[in-house]
Amino acid sequence: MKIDVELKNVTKKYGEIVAVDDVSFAVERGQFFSLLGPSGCGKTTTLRMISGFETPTEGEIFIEGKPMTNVPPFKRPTNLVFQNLALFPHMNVFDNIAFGLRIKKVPENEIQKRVKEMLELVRLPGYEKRKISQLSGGEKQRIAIVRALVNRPAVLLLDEPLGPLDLKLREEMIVELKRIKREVGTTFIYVTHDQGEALTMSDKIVVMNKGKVVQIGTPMEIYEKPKSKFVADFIGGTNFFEGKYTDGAVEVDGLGKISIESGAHVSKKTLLLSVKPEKICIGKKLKKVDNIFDGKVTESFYQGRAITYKVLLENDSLITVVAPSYGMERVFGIGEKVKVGWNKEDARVIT
Amino acid sequence: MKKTNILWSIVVIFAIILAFSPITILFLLSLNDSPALPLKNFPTTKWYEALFQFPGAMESIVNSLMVAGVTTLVAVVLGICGGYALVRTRFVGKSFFTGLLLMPMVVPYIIMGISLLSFLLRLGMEPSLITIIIGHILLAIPYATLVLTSRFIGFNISLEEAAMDLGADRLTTFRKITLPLIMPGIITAAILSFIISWEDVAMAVLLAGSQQTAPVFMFSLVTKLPKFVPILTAMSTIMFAFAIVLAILMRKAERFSIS
Amino acid sequence: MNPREKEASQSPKTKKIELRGILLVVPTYLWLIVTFLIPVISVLMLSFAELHPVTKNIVSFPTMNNYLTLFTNLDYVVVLLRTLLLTVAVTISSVGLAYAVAYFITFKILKNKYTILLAFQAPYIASYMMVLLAWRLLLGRSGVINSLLMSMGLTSGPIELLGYNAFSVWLVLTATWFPWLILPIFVSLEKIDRSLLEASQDLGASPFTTFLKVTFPLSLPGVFVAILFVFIPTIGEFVAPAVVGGTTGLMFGNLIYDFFLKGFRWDIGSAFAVCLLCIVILAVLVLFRKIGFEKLMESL
Repeated sequence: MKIDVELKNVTKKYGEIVAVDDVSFAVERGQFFSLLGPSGCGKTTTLRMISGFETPTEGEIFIEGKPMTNVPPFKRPTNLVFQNLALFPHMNVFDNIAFGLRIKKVPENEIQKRVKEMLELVRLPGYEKRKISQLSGGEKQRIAIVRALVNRPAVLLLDEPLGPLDLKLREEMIVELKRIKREVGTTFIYVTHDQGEALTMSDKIVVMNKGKVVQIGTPMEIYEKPKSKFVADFIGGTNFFEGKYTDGAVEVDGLGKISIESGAHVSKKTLLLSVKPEKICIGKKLKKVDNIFDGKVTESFYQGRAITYKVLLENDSLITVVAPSYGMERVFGIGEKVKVGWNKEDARVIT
Repeated sequence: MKKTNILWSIVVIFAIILAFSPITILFLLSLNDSPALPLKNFPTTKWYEALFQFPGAMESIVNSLMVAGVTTLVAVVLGICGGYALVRTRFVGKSFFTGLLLMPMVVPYIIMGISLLSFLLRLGMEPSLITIIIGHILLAIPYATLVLTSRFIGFNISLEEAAMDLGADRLTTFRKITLPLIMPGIITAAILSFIISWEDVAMAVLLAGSQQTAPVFMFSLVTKLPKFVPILTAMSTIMFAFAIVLAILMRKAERFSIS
Repeated sequence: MNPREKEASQSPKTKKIELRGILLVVPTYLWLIVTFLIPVISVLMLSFAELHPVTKNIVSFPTMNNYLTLFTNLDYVVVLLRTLLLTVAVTISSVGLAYAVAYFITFKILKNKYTILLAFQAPYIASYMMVLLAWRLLLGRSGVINSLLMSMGLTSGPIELLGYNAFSVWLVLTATWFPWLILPIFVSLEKIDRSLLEASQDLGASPFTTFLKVTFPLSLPGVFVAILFVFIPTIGEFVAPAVVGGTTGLMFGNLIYDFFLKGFRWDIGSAFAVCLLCIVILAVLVLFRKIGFEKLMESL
């Protein structure tokens, strides 16, 4: 596989503050690659270094194998979709999309053709003469995306472009983005703080926290096999259990043994377990489950597709359980005694 | 309730008379046989004819145009630089600079004028149109800079970054993005600078040599040769008409640049 | 703290930005320093010197003689007092009239407020000199107003008050300035939340009390800006007195003008200018203290 973008030990400091700390990763050609993390984690700074608006304090950036660290933004084969879209208000849709091509002195009839193709790609044919102020939020997003794409960049960079949209429009745009990605095949690097967006769209995700890369992997790996407490909690939320390891199980104070998958764990060592809320079953009686505990429902939220419970266990720890509403005989009431349980492969050991 | 309405009407009508009647009467008198009421032999163009014959009158209008033109050009360029620097960059002594920039706005013209005059004379400069231009630029700089500063504050920097990301170098970005977007500010600054120079009597009277701007020409005639005052009624009417045409043109340009 | 704030003076990029900033302000800086700061400071120095009337070389320094000349000559003191009186009178009358018109436009007019506002600025597209010329013709012993009154038989002789004198200067300056002051006052009146006025009336205040206790205090920023707008040019005025002031309406600015352009006594003129500047600075400081610099800039 060809590598399109590579960061080698990139660090960015603003005075004393380290915004990006020794970040390395490689993006393969044609990937939908996401930088995911809470606000202030350094993901936008990383993106701005790839696009050339910030220069790394240390480390190097390669795009298509060429060193790019000191190349100005207008000479890089990347194009950026800005967080606030940054569509030029004094130009119409056509002039906005044609801007990059005109700079490159592409012949005018070629420009006409490519802009038309692009507007068809985002299903806005005939929008050439519209003013930017006449576009709806979703239309602006699409124009901003094709204004970057029309230049056929090696890499398309997207800086939380769906942020200001409402939920329904955002879901629409996620589908739209995936379709555009499929049709053009360009490498996408997508910055977001929304784990849902990242999981849905990405081929690969880099999770960042406090300027550092904490995990790189496919959405499934990130979700199912978090390597740290931060990732386990940030992606979808989780329940933690801490206890000492003794042959095939973890002994949690006041709760008892939680059996886990066999692995090379050292006896008597304290382990942290993560159990995702939707991996936990809840019921009056549970069968065929490896770990079963008693608990009391303290809160329940009916959410249509699922029901979320807060369950108090015997060791006074509160866990979150998400049960599908499908096949449920009823919603458990507050104060009701229940049993909760999960299989041993669903309790992930976090090292 | 009715009583207060009558009171309001009186105050407002008084204000309107105070504001509008002088120039209306001036306009009527410029078409009258003599600068007095009641009207006699009305309308006549004899003062307008006399104006074109009168030595120095038309030259002074041309001088005014030149002075205001140069002042506008320099003040707007300096205003763009200053506004950009104040909003987009940091430099040592920014607050000192801002203070210095605002100071000419609160110092009476007479003080700035005589200070500048004595200073320029000491440097060996003779009073001329150039000294007037120097003074007018000083008057216009704070206004031009303030107008453009507020325009730059409202400017979204990612628009420039977007242009650079799409392949435009700094110069192209400035030409195609920055300049068009601050154009309304530039036009407002230009109108302000032009008016400041075009209208000014005090600074120009202090700094003028043998070449005079129109207001200086009028001032010296009024105070020294009162019998030629009727000619000035014609002159100021022409200048008024010119200023109105200019104002309309600039308004049009402003609207054009916004759309 | 914003990481970019922290960037200050550290990375090479910031140094570049700083250099660019300095390069961009250098022309303006130079202009302000060479044509404003240095000349004003040199006038300040000059006011403590005695110059040779012809060669303009410094004869003695420092000396208080120039200031003594001002304060020991009764004629000069009278002109100074007259100037102060006229300035205060013009400020009060023009701000008052502008306030009335602004209040009327804000609260009594429902449609086309801005057109009316604009219309009041219109006569001054012309020029200051044109307006002064118009008043020159209107006033005077044999001016338009007096001759009209006499021809209509309303008065037997010319009304002296409407000649060229201090009263005329006051009238002309008031008429010239008040239209400019409508806008800042209008802006601060328009900004007042109408529900505050309703709340005041709801709590039992009469319309007049509401004005006194709510509307007026809230419009003060605009009033102070207006005062600044009229006070500074009026106290340094010398053109209007020369045109309509006759011999009894001359102001302090005329004295300074004469010392520099007619008598060529730069040293005495400088002392007079410094006195004027001190009064202006005092007034500006009082106004700034009353309202705060930030708020004043906001309403500018």
